[in-house]
Amino acid sequence: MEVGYDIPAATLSLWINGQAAGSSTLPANAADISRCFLGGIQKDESLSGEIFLDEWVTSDEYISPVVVEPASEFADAPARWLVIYNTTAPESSQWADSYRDARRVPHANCLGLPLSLSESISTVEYEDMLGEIEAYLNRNGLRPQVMGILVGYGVPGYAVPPGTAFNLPILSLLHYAEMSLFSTPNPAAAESIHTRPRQADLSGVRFTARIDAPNLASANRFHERSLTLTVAPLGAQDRLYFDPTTAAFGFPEWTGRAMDWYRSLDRQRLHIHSTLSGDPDADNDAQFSAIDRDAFYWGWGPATPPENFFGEPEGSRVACVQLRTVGVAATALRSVTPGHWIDIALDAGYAAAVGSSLSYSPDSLLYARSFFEALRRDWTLAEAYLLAAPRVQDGLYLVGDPLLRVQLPKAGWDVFGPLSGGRDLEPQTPAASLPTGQLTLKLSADQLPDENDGGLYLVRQIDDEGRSEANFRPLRVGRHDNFPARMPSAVAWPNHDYWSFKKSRGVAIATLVFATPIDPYRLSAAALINDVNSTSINADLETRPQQVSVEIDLPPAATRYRWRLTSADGLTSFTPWSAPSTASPTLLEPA
Amino acid sequence: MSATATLPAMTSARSVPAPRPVVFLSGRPEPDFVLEQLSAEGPLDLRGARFRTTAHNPQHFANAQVIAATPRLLIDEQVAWEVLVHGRLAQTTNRTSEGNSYPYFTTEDSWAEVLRSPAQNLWQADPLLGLQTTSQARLNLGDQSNRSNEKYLINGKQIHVPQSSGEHWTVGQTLDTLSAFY
Repeated sequence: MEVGYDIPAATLSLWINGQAAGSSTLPANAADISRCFLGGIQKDESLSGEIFLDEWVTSDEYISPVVVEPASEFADAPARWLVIYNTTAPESSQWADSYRDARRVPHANCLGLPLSLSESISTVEYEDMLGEIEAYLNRNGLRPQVMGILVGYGVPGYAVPPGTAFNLPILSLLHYAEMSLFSTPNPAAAESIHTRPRQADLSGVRFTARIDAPNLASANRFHERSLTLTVAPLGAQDRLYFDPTTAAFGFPEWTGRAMDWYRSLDRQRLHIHSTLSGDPDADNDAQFSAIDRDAFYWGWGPATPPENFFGEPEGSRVACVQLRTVGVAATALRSVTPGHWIDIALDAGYAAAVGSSLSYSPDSLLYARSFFEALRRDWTLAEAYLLAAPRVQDGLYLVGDPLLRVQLPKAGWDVFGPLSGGRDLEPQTPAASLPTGQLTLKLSADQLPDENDGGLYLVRQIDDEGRSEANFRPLRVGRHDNFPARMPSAVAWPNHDYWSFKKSRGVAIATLVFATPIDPYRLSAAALINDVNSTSINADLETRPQQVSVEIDLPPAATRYRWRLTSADGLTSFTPWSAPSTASPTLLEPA
Repeated sequence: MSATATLPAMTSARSVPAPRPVVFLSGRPEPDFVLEQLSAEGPLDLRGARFRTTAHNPQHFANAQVIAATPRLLIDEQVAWEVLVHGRLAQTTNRTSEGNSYPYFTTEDSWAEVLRSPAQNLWQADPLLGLQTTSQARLNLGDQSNRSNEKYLINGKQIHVPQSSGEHWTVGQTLDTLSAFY
């Protein structure tokens, strides 16, 4: 609360929380004022009590509310946000108090404005609101630190240009300090992200988000859910549902980009199970009829979901992104529109949602890769959204607590390969990261084993804390009809050229030793072959767990032998050649 | 680039059975021999082994060079051998197992053989603080045994030295005893 005397202008003004609350004409003897009575402003006239002051400051210039230094240089610090609420609606102030307490937003970062109670206002009214916001940031020295604006419960959500029925989301317009009726490029967007944006990296664009709901309890639920998600990791059963549109629908570039992302999910270390509605390349525009165990939904479809779409058991329900909800969004959130996708998703328990209120350019379609990569890196929802949005100030909007962070599952498997040997391993950069329970890996062309020599794949398990086991499980894989398949078991002996037989009781005995007990998947046959004719002698694999032997007649001179091994997948490998036999038993030493 | 193939189910968490030791005779694996028992004693790791054989003519194997080793699968599917015992088959005895009588061989590891060999030249301190060699010496084992009563300045350090009783002693006893002196 601040009282200002402007003697040249002969005015006396009262400021509360950095906002002008009233003014009056100064008395004639203003220069002699030496005593000031402060009182509370309260709509309940019967209320009485005492006001305790935290701080008493006198100055000959404007004193702003106490500005708190942000705890971080990124948008995850509450002091980097400006929270707008509507002082015309008492419940909006209550929501602001609740949000401020929950998120520890400094008082100076909460701005109450006397706004319309309607969810939609004219663009003229919006410009007045924007002017108040910009003036507040300037007047209180907040501009250098505020990176985002949260449009709170009870604040109008849409601006309608005169003579149109367009519902421009106010949070979308607020991305820039200047009003624009046309979509604007977002310099902070990136198809793939590398560094976390600081204030200086944003080139003037701001993070924004909106929280609104039919009632105060529902509005409070956004930050309550957000705080819960911050401390509770997603479960191993949580799923990502992905419903792309076909290229034929008109946005081949976006469809291609989205499908490239989806098909490379294994390599993005998300450790989350995913489900595709239908392959758009096959011109299959299938849609989900219902989803369950859902943590994320990312789709393109009708503005209304099928009945009972969000089924049970529920997943963690973090964010529902429906990119084509045009038409009925203007009254969404506060006055729930029956059948509206975003309202139904939020009602089903989603902590956040992205929708659209009017047609927008395909250039504005979000980058799924950036969105999920930002969340994986433990960045906030608002950062994930802005980095994923190539254009702003159009019809797309984000609903939810901008400070939401989510702990994606860490448990699963890291796969490395194809490698030519253990020395090629780079433990920090797996080729794929699979969620718990996924036992197969779809290989892209650059992940296929070498056509001739095969490749080595190493797998290690990651626990719930993200810690990796010390041991890698190796799998030697080759190509079989261009499909990868398991190579035969590793041979421990003979593992060098010029190995020799054992001679006993007039026969020669060849022995083969494996490095591990025989695994039927990796060894279906072991045959001794020679370089003279195509004769092969199959060994009995059942006699010993780790060794096989065959007896042959003493061979003619200059014959070499080796073992041919066949895996259950039909791939073969060979041991080194033996020493050539001689007529004398020199190389077939008596035991 | 779209996926074209699938890596087989390779990520199950099942444990792989431990590989078993393989017996090599004269450099070749000998399937008729099984490592029955491996013993290792003390900090000097004196090893011995007992092998069971189903060979028809076990007498042929007497005094043969024997290695028992376990194959270890390395990270890139290369194989390394962990040698458990390396020596010569010593003698054959018949033992009964599960109602059948099998010939058994024992062997002493080559390192144990070295430790048991007599020490040919020992140094001991003489009363004039000199050091002299003796080929006739024996030390008793234990912390205090055969330790000089006085400390001697050797190489700048005051240390006890072995004082022998003048009988034969082995390399193993030497190492074992010296380890107690500092």
